[in-house]
Amino acid sequence: MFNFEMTHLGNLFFGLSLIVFISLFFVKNQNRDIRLHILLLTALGFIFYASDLITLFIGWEVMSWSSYFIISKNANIKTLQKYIIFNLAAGFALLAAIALIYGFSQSVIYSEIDISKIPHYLYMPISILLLITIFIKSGVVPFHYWVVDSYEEANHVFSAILSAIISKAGIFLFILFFIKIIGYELLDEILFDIVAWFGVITSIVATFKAISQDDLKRLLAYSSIAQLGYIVTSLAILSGSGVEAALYHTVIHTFVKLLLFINIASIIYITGRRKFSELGGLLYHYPTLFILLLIGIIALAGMPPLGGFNSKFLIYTTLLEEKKGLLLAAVMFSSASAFLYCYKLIYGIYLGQPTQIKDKYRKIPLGFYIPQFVGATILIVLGILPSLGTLEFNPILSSLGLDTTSYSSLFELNSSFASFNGGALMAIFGVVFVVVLAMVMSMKNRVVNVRDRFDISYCGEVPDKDINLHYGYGIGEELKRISFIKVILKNSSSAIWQRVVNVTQDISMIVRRFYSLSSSHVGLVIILFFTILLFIGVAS
Amino acid sequence: MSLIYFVVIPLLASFLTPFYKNYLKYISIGVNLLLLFLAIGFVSSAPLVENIAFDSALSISFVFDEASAFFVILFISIMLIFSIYNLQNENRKDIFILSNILLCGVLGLVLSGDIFNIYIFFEIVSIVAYILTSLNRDKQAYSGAIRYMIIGSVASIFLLIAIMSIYINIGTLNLVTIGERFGSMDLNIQFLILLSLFIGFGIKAEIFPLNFWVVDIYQASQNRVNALFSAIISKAYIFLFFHIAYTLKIEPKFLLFVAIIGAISFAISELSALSSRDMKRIFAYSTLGQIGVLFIALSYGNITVVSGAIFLIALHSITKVMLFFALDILKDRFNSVKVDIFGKFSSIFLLLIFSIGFLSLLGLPPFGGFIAKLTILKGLASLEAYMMIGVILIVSLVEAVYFFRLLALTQQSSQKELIQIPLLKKSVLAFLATMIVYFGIFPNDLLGVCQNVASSLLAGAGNV
Repeated sequence: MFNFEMTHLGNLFFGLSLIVFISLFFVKNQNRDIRLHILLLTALGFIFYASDLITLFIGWEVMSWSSYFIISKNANIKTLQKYIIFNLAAGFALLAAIALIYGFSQSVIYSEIDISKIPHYLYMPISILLLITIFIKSGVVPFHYWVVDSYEEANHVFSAILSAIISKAGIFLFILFFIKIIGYELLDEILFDIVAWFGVITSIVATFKAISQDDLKRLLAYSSIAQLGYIVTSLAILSGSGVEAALYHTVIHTFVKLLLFINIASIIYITGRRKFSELGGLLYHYPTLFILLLIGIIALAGMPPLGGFNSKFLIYTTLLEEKKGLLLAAVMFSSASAFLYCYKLIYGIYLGQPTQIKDKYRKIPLGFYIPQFVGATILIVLGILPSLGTLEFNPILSSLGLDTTSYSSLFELNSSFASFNGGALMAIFGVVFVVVLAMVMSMKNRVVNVRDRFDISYCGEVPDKDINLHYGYGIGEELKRISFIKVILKNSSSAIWQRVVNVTQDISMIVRRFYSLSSSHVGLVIILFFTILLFIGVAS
Repeated sequence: MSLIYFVVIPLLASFLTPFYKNYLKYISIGVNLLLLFLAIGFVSSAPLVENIAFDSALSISFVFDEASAFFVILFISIMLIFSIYNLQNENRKDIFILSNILLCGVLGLVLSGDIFNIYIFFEIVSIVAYILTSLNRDKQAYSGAIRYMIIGSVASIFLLIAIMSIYINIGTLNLVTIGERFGSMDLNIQFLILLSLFIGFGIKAEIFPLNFWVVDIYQASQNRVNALFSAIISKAYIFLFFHIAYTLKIEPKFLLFVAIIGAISFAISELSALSSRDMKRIFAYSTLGQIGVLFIALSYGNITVVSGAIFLIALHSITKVMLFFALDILKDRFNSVKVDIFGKFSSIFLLLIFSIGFLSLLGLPPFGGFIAKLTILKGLASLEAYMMIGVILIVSLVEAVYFFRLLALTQQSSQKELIQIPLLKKSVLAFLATMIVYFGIFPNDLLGVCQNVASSLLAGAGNV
């Protein structure tokens, strides 16, 4: 019944899960049910180490419902409904695909599945079913409807797990099915071109949605969707370097989101507030948190010298190599726009005039720092030694039958036609940073302590109580003047899904009346049914 | 030893028990155990045919093949669990008399090899069911019982039409002989017979659009009685309809029609459950939905699909008995069956029971329902019945909405009341839950049995 195998791919994903789970274990969390977390981790183990489709599916569904029980402690019913319906829809699409594969090839073991036994016209439906599963789990537009609310309402530790690990299950599934089981050769190229565009559109839409959020967790949720969009795009290129870029970005995104979600969780823990409009100026109180967040957003934005640059570099070069110019432009546009929300994150929380000043903030328990340090360390190490990733991914690529990348030293990251030296980059940035810091220190600015926001000695006018003086929360307001961004921000998929829900409920109210008919009417229905069938039957 | 014991022993027990009123429950359990041992003893000698001839046309015949053996054992085990659960229910002793007559009736239905006997047991089961419905002795119960009786008599009229037409045209009531000669009849008569059988059994097996009466009956009767309705009575008629259908070797076209009816039934009842706010009605709708799935699966006549359906029958019976018993405990505590009681209780045990039950009904791993669903879907895929796969999966999503909504209610913070469950009831529920998990993780034994049952069912009565 249960078949498992150790694969390099499974090791990578399960290793990431273990690091995330263990480091989050130290974070203080009041209503954590450790049994459910262990169940979830076991389910992830089933997914990543399964060697047959049934074991995989068991892991998949246990993951869905155990995570449902975990968030059901915090979220309200509407969010929960969204969460479980979308996730079960993903599961059922997967089940349908498995049933089709199983029904025709009569085997569920990965190595024994004979794709050639499946009728040719079924390739497309199977691919689409699997893509629906992957899209829902990774939150690709328009299947992202469930993601943001769930991330927002789950407790802060579990939001980190959702973003860092569970969303990656979809990526794992993509590699498993489309590369390992079915193989690139049999896939429809046009379909996957469309998939690549789905990924890019997801990242653009989610990036602008992120910029316009006022809630910290919602911003991170949208950012998570956007990052998964890049991963889907680079996977859909259907090449070895695309897979490598996707894996690299998966690793980076896991640690970035681990860091950021727990950083935000610390802020919420300290202040009890979770909106940009209520925060600001925390730099002087919590410099360590500021530096950790800075590391996180540098990696998130894909800037050198941290690890985030490596994966972005690979994604760009892959797109260039495959001559997907339009895609490349779109990806670059979206990741450039991502600077805005990264900036909003750090400015809105730590810099600027604080909206409300508290004299005393809570002390942060040490546990909150552990996941952040783990994330930051790995991001810095990957920045200096970018080929550590290549070292890790090459066995995966070769076990999947894809081309591997060569590397001369751990400091150097190679793609097919470009390379850079991470160590050198880090050194240069380090020197520049020290120089700039020294210059800033030497400038001897007069530091003015503002006691509260209504201290008007530096303002031209007397601020109203309702006027928020902190610029950070308003970042991105002016973007709404650009017409196509306005379209993105104004529309949302929720209207469509809400309509589906309403129609279903209306139908439900109507059909339910049948079951309250009186006895005579029921008898009448029976006799009518008999008569109609008799006529139809005798006539034909 | 004779097959007739399966009918006679419970019947005798129920008629004798008024004299031993104080030992009623123990006698009932003893009878169930005795029958269970008997049935298991008979399994090795299956297939077995027994004719008690009065007259060549009207002989009583019992058939004990693998299919009927499976149902006999299933029904006896459920009745045994029912009796054990009712051990502490002192105030209504007559439920044991009724349950024994019911057992006699359903065993007779499953074992009968001729259609006239089937009619007799059909009436026995119906009459017991009417009385069981009215067990509560209030207005709702009596009106429910009368409603049941009216619809039940409509069903028996249609069954009688079918039996008469068969006897007039073939001159025999033995299923094997009917199966041999059925094809030689006039096509219109064939269709009339099939249709009457479908309507007659369809009403009792609770299939759309013949099931509009069911939900009110469930609501009018006690929870423990609902468990019997859901787990035993409807299952017996489903078996019977398909047993006769495969014996008569009817056209695939008609079976396809039955499958479509099943799909509609599944969709309509799950949709109805979506906006229902009464636990009993929700469980009733869910039963109707699962019956729809069974009709889809059993109509396809493929060994994999049918064995999945048999697996589903076993699992659904276990699950629904468990859920109705658990609901019974809640009802005793809160004296209500509205959905909001789910937000009021605080009991990890009950929460676990409901979770396992709901997840298994939804066909989620690692519970038994998943294996049934997977087997059915796999078989349907190899038959290229893609529409049915789509219907089953999409409607399951609707089912998921209301089951998970109930589970979410238990997590919402509100005034909670601690529930103490008697040890006996707790152990019965724990046993049933263990069965569901066990069959989900180690399905192979039961799946093997189901395959034999399926091949025996597909071969019809003529295989013995």
